[in-house]
Amino acid sequence: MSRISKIEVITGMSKLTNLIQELSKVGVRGVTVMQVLGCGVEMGTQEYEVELNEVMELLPKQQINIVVEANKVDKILDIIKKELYTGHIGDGKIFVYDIDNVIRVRTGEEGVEAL
Amino acid sequence: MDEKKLGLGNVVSVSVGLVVATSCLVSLGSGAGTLGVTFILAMAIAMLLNMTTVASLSELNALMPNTTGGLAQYTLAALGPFPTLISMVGGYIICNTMSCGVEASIFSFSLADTLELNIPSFVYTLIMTVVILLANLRGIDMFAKIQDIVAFLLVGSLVAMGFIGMIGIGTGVKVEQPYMLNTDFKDIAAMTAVAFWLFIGAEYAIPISKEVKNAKRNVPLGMMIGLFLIFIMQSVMVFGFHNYVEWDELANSAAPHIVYGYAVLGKAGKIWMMLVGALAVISTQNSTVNSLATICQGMAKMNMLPKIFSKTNKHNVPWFGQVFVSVAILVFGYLSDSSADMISFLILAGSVFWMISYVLAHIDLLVFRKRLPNAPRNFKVPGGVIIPIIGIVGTVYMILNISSDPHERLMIWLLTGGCFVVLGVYSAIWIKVKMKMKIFKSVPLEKVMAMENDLYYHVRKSKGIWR
Repeated sequence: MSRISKIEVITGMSKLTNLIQELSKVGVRGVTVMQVLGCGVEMGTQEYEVELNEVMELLPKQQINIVVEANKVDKILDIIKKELYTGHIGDGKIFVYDIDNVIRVRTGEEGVEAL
Repeated sequence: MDEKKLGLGNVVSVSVGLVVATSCLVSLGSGAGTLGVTFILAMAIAMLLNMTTVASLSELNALMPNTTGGLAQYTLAALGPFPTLISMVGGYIICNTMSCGVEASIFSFSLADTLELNIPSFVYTLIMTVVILLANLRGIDMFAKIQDIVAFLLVGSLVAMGFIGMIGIGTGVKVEQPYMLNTDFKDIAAMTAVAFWLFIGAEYAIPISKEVKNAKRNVPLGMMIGLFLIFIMQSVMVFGFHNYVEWDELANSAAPHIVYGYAVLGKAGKIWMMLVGALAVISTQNSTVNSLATICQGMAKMNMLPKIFSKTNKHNVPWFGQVFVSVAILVFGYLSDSSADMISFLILAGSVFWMISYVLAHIDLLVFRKRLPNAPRNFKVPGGVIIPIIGIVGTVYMILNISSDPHERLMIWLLTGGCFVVLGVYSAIWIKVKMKMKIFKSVPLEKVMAMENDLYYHVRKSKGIWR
């Protein structure tokens, strides 16, 4: 099993600041944020609508990527879930990947040392 | 970034301020007058049971944060519209108007007793209710700025008077009487229902959660500390009562705080307690008229009450709800006017409504533990299901032992049972015919959260689904 994992969070536009603050407190040292478009099983339907959209409607979201040591993943996932949770549709999704290697270009360090 | 301004201390002070009211003093006088200082044990049990409810409500708030309807929405998502409608209309609206009517009655009795003008005491209730209604209909929240001050004045006065009485430095004449009137644990346990009234309402602090730093810790902890401080304060009062007021006189008084104030500090004490109590009652009634009308408006928007409750006047206030609540307060105020027995009876009946709401809160929690075991919760009640089950068992025990007088107990059950039957029939018909929903089918949690959005109702009205 890989010693490094990537956590990819897709969530609404308003959650970023508080999430970054919470992640900083637990020693996460780096994050990449992208503005994306997407939808989930609700096909982009707003929560107040009566019927589901028949065709997917893409909504603006944020994708937040974090690469961390594998042994920290559970703790970080717990923080992310609690920070993003509102009970409303659109709270988001989290994907977890194994990472084969990480390389710091400037020093040539690899693996966990490059985080 | 959001700036959260409130801390643990703020939550504690809001909890204490919201719970303590003059009607608590009637329960305190009634309980202490019956058991003596042993009533403190009944208070401790009631406090612990209320803490279980606070814990359950905190976890429900973690699952459904920032909802305006609170318990109504938790129950709608857990159990469906039928128990929601009954618990909201019965548990909150009827209970709060009942308690407000009782408070008004205590206020008018205190005023009549202190001013000694030849005016029927109900006139004071009428004048106060009409003035508050007219101000609210014009959208004027008279007490918005001083509500906190009034709450602190009442609590501070009770603490001060309690200590003066307890350590025996009042100007009045001390009485010689036994500390304990009854030490039978069965009787003490039966009085927990009376003591229950002293602690209800701490959950009203939950709506301020979004303003609180480290809310997942500070909100439940603040409410628990608030309940404990209330327990200490009321216990000090009981010892003060022992030193200055005959137990019998206490149990039979419609305004024990006035009796106590006079006994400890003479006319000055009487006027002090009357003024502080009067301010507190006016503040309570003002916020009750305001908040219950808003709850009714919210329920009408959710299609749970007739549309007329959602209509606003030119000042943008839900006028029908305010008139409805004010009339109900007058009715209960008239029924309990200057009668300690009727005041106690209505407090106990109101307690039953509230206890049923609290039982529903525990059941809601257990349902969500089963249905959404992995949903993230910023706060989770420790110990698995033990605490909610203790809460349910303890609260049901209090309902079954609501009064030690079998006749009074039967009358309370008949009153509350009758109300619930009427509400049950109304709810079943309304849900089937107007809301077009299955009466016991729970609404998915995300749909209940969506109801917070005004567009939810706008879309349904525009499509003719809700009229």
